[in-house]
This record gives sequence, structure tokens and C-alpha cells, in this order.
Amino acid sequence: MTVSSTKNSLLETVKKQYMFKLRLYINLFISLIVVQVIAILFSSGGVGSHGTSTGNINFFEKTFSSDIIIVFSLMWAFFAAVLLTTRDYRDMDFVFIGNRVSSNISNMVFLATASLVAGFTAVLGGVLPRVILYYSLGPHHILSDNYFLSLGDLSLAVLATFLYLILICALGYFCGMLVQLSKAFVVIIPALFFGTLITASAREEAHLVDYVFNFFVEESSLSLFLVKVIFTAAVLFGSSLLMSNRLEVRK
Amino acid sequence: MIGFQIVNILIILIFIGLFILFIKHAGQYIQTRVRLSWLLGAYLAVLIISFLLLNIIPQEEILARDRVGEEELEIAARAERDFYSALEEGWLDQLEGVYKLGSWDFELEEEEEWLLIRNGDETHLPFTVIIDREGDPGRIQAHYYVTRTIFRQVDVTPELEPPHVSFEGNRLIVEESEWQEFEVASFQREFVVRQFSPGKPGVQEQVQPGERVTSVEGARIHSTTGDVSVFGEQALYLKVPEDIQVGHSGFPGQVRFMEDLPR
Repeated sequence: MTVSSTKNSLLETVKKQYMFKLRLYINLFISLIVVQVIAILFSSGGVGSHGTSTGNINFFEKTFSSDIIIVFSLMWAFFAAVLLTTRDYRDMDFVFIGNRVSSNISNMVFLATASLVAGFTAVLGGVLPRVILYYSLGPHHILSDNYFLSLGDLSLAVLATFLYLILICALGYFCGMLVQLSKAFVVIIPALFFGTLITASAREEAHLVDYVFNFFVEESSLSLFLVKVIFTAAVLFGSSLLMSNRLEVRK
Repeated sequence: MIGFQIVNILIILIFIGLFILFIKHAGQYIQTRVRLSWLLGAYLAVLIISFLLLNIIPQEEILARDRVGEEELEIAARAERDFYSALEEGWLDQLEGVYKLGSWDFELEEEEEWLLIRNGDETHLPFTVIIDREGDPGRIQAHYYVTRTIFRQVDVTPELEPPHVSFEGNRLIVEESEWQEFEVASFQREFVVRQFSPGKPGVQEQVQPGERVTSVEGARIHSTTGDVSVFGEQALYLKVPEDIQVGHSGFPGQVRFMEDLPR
């Protein structure tokens, strides 16, 4: 009975904190919009092109995709997650009666919601240039492959983007928590990341970042990818939660 | 090399710093939460409307145009391969996939004994001139033939234009038509989805119809990203009277006389 009421109380607190954060952190969504609009503008010129000519005709092909919008959204997700671990944002939690656990869980649920919104808008952001091109370039100059996006295609793209965003959010939250634990990580994390890249590229061999990257990017089964992401995100969020408790003990 | 990487990393770090500052402070200049919600709502509305608009675009307008089928690609490739032999051996009318884009008929003065075919441009003309001396007396007939040009499996032959051909005195002046630009937009699935497509990432766009079409031996088929391009041949075919002297200027190596060709 006591355990159940504690669980209920935790759920209630998380729910309240989550609702509160949705309203309070709306500025993060505004930054998402600006980031995505910038990415849409970058994408509108095409992400690749090639040309050739024969006779007196020049052929020019421009390739369009939502990749830049998704990459920008992933960067946004990472830094938004890091921001949630900073003191300014953590202090906002004191408005509510709760503890570190409820605060962290509500942050994670908020990040999941933000990832869903970002995934949805990032994929739809790629649709806007398609429509503009139809009217500006004309239908006769559009190759139909991948031009149309059915509801099924849209759902798959949103789901995949959402999973990547969750993963990046978990990584950002984890890195943010490390930095809160010790400011030395502000230097250590980028140094480790870029150091690995530099040394590996100097030796021209695969490196740790490659292996981690390929672990997710080369997964061709959606269900396996889902499991990988959920497991990794759970480990990263769980570790962040433990670090957060340690942070509380230290203070 | 390392120095270059360090500069790159510094640029990335500056970019990241600006990015963080931006995310942290974005929205603070918009005073009320209601305005923020409106902005968010408007953005979502624009995106959703664009998705709806995409789905009401008539698909046949786009689909009807592109993707020349494998059979047609084979015909185009065969026509491109056999074009000159058909033209020079006189069986062009039996070759499928050849189009006549322009025809001209000029009357010669009775006393004319010579004809000069002149390139009216200073540039190299992108076609060969074939001269057949079995033409009607007192007449010069010119025909401009092409085989189909298919770019990324889009038939662009209707976009091709014949050269300008005019006759002044005893000079047949050939000028290139205006350069044309043909721009196409192609689309890639999001990289987050490509990995779930059958085969390796990105292979979705690398279906190889070109490999099957290369059964047309000797044909020049260009396949870069999997989509096939066949760049057609062009020739200006001239029929001139037997008894006239023909000279040419501005066509280095591009003029062939039928009687000189091996039969």
C-alpha cells in the first residue's frame, strides 16, 4: 500500500513537472523552429548536384533531401538535452515539490516529447521544398522517385528520426550530467571525441566513434534498431539518473 | 594535415558555442507565452498544409513524364549505336528511334557550279554533316536527324532544337541553335530511413536498369547513380546535285561525303 502510494505520488509529481516544463520550456521549441527554418533554407538549394552536356543541351540535376534538417535537429536535440542539466534549468524544478528522480524523469519525458515534435517537423520540413519546387520548376522537371511521401513513408521517417533524436537526447543528457558532476568534462568530452577522430584519421583506420556510429547506422532492421536505441537510451538516462543522485548527495 | 583539422575543430567549436547561445536565449525576446504558442502553431500548420498540398499534386503530371521503360531505352541505345551506319548506308528509315527535327529545301541558281557549306558560328558544331551527291538537280535538301536523348530516364528529345540553316548566294550557312538548359530535381529519402531500405544504405536509388540495357552491344549508355542516360546522335544530312563542287569551312573533321565512305 505504501509502495503503491509512493509510486502514485511519484507519477503525479512527474506528470505535474512534465506539464509545467512543457509550458516553461517553450522557448526551446522556438529555437527548434529557427534551427529548422535555417536548415530548410540551406536544403532548398539542394544537397547535391551534377551536370553534363551533349549537343547543345546542358543537363543539370539537383538532389534534394531532408538530411540537413534532420542533422540540424539532432544537434538541437543534443544541446537542448545538455541545457536541461544546467543549474538554471534544474533550479526551476524547485517550484514543485519533488525530488531528483521526479525531476529527471520529467526531463526525460519532456525530451521524448520534444524529440517527437522535432522528428515530425524535421521530416515535414523536407516536404515544403518539394511543394515549392513543383510550382517553381514545374512538374516536368521533377523526377518522381521519392518525391511523393505517403502516410506510411511519413510515419516511418518520423519514427526513425524520433529514435535518433531520443538517442542523441540521451547522449546529450548524459554528457550534460557528466559536466555537472565535474566541469573538467567540458574539456574532456570534446577532447576525447575530436582526439579520437584526429588520431584515427591520421592512422587512416576505423576508430571507436566509427564503431559506435556504425552500430546504429548500419542496422537495417527497424525492430533491432528500436531495441538498440531503447537499450542505449535507457543505459544513458539511467546513468544520468545515478549521477544526478550523486550530484544531490554532494550538495 | 593536423593543423587543418585543428582549424576545422575550432570552427566547429565556435559554431557549437553560437548554437548553444542561440538555443539558450531563443524566444526570450518574444515576451508572452501566447505568442510563442502561436508561432509554434503557425509553423506546424505550414508544414502540415505543405504535406496535404504534396498529396493533392496530380501524380500523373510527374510520373507520366519520367522513367522511360527498359524496352525504349534499348531502342534508343540501339539507334544511337547504329545511327551513322544507317545514315551512310541508306537504311535510316528502317532504324527505329530516329527523329527528323528539321528539313530545308533550297533552289539553286542554274549557273551555280559550286557550293560552300559554312559554319556560321565560331564554335564547334555538335553534329556531323553528311553529304549525299544523289540529290535532285537545282536543289539542296537538308534534313536534321537525331536519335533519342534520355537523361536520367527522362526523354528530353522534345526539348532538342535543330540548327539554323540558311542559304545565301552559293553559301549554305549552318548555325547552332541556342544552348538549352535542362534542369531536373531529384529526391532522396532521409538518411535515417535509407538504412531500412532493402539492401545496403543508399542502394534503394541504385537499381541498375543500365546493366540489363547494356545487352545492346557497343551502345554508349551512361549510368551514374543507377538511372540511365542515353545521349543521342545528331547529323545534318545534305542532298546536293551530282555535278556541283562542294567545299566546306568551319567543320574540322565533321563533313563526310557519301561517295568516300566504304560501302
